[in-house]
Amino acid sequence: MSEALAQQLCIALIGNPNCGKTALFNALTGSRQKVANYPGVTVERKEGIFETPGGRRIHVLDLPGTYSLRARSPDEAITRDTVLGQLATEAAPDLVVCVADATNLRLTLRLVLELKKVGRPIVLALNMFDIAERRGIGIDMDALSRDLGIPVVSTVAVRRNGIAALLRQIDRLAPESGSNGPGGWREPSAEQVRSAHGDAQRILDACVTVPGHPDIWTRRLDRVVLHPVAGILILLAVLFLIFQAVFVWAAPAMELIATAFDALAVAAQAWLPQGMLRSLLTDGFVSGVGSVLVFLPQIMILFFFINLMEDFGYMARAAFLMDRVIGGVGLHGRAFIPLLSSFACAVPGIMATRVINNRRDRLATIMVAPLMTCSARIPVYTLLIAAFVPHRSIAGFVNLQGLVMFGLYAAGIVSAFAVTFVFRKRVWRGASEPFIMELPAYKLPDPRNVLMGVLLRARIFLRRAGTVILAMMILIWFLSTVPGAPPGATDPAINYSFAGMIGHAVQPVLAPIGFNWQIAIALIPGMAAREVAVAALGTVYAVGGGKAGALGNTLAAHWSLATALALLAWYVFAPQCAATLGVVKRETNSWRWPAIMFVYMMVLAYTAAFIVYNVTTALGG
Amino acid sequence: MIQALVTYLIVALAAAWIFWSMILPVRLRAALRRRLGLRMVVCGMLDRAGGCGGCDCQDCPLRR
Amino acid sequence: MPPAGLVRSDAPGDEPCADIVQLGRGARGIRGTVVQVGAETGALPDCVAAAELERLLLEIGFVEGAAIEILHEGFIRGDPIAVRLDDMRVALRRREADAILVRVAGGSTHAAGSES
Repeated sequence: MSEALAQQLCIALIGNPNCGKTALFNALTGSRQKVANYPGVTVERKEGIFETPGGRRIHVLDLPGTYSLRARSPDEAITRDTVLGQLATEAAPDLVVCVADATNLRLTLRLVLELKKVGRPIVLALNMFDIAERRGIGIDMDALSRDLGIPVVSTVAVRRNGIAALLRQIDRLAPESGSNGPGGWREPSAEQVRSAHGDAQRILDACVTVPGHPDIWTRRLDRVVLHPVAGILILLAVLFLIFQAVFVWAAPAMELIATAFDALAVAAQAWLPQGMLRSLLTDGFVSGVGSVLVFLPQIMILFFFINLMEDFGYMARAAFLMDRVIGGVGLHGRAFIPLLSSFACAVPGIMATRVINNRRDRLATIMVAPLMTCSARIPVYTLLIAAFVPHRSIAGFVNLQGLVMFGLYAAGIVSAFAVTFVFRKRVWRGASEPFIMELPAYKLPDPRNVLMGVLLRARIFLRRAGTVILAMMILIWFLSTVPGAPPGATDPAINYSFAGMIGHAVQPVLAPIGFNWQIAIALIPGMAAREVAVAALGTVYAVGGGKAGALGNTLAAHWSLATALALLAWYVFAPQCAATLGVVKRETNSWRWPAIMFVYMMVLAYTAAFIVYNVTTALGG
Repeated sequence: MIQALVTYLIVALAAAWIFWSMILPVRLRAALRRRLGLRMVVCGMLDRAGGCGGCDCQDCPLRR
Repeated sequence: MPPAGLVRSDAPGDEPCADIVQLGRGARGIRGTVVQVGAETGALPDCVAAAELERLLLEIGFVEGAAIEILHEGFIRGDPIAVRLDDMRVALRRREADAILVRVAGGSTHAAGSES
């Protein structure tokens, strides 16, 4: 161990969900934090660094919220194993800071009593102390400290109050680093939990006075927000607002990014002579990475709303309202946010599944997120619909083209529910997780926390785009460019490339679903991003610039209606996005899930296209 | 000619990077790092438990 | 007989004792005290084991003696429910709530009343 490390100390933040633990974590570390997954499990790991006045360098770990050390889900297991020092990749903490919502102490006191059995130094931080004071809750901190046998400090994390006192306690209690052995703890029986509740109640009675009228605002708001009719209407309005914001507010920023990338392409064309490097920069980098990076504004707006709702306390209410609606197929109430985000792009949608704590629920959501019609499918849909579906009205007012578009969206949603249902019934047949969730008191969101959350997500996305996605785009570009066309060739260059070879090779497999070799080739660069397939089709049919109108006419002349409809059906399901698969790999820390996703979506796509092609052909399409 | 060379170099780098950071199993990568004498990245608490390689994060602020 | 509106009309009425109901069968607005956690629910096979459910409920604060009130219910078959539990609010499905027996506070219940 190096000398610098000898002074380092590890502390862990533990607490009930919604106790403001993350706000305290932010107040302690500022921007010096990083988010990753624990190796091998889909549980988010947040770590940060700060220094105490005593000159100690402290690594602080923000553990997943829990009510007990007894673990049911992998994230709770992480909390337990970290505190007990049983995690192979994690050093046991030297000190545990237990964070409590000062307005709601009961469950935290029981957790503290349980933590004391582990035998590590503990500091109890009574967070949101200002709210407790405002509500007239009297807490005798000295008595509390005496009864629990641990130091107690009051904090207001969002205003950074009480942090200094907490740091003093950490400095005072800090043992020699590395002196921490495995903790002692045994899973309590139901009777022990009951008796701990009794002890907590006694301490509560002795140290805390609660006024007769608790939180009136939460009660009043809930009467509207959780109302069976009004609540649903409000939820729909909120969802609509988010949907609107993601698509409309983000548009100017997205255009700006697209313009910047176009300018980059033009600059590259001006500076570099005709050749491979220029092609790599313009076709690989600009149209590949650019087409993914363009989603950054959408991601930031989306996470702004998610953080806002989480901070405000609405997220738990929304999960309550949605539980029965999407719970019937086996999705968790919270899954609706990631699924909604996936209409913009599956990448932020999959990143947003981190709001779901339970691993199975999270995996189920990740697996179906790409079935939501992402905005990269829209160019493909509009091209084919405009070319093949007649522009006419049915029953006087329903536009046939619009109807087909709606049908494609609906097909994605319905199939997502069906796939989840099958997954939960066939793959994870175990007991379904009970839905028991605290509804936290409403509180005003803290702008700083919300902003930090948004920037954190943006940073993660940019790093992904700069590493995984960039590397994949380069490889896909390589496949569709090399080897180049031989001298005197008449067909477009892509025809001679590896992508062309693969396209010709797989064409017999795709023949039963009505795809010709041109489509087979276009599908390969389409793996970079779905809409790239449109440009690729333009290249294959040698229609310059991929102009939609001209390309549409060409396609209408070359394809049968059956082929076009089959391609649409294919695009509803096909795993045509390397970025999504890469993100799934990163989020689940295993190749298993992206592989399963690829296979099941491929099977669905092929089946759907097969049925559509053959039915349409039989009907004389 | 130089253009093509640079291009192939970039493509090879991208392929190597994908292989190293995504395809190679975590443990194998950690073992290789150790064998190659690459610095075990000081990654906070992970460092005490045997160094990076147990962590597949790519998000480490101390990595750069 | 429990007072009208105490028990949801669609729930099979086989309460062991007149003023003790399974929380999962309570109507919105009932108030009372938890008398038993971890009661036999006769639950479906895909539910978690009874002992596990008991500890889960205990850990989130459903403990004998706690004051309870059903505040809200979902719009599909009144499921899940949101209850006031001492000074906090908890949402849970009726299926799991069945494991909690509540002694309903006599007289002060209004069937529709979330007023307080």
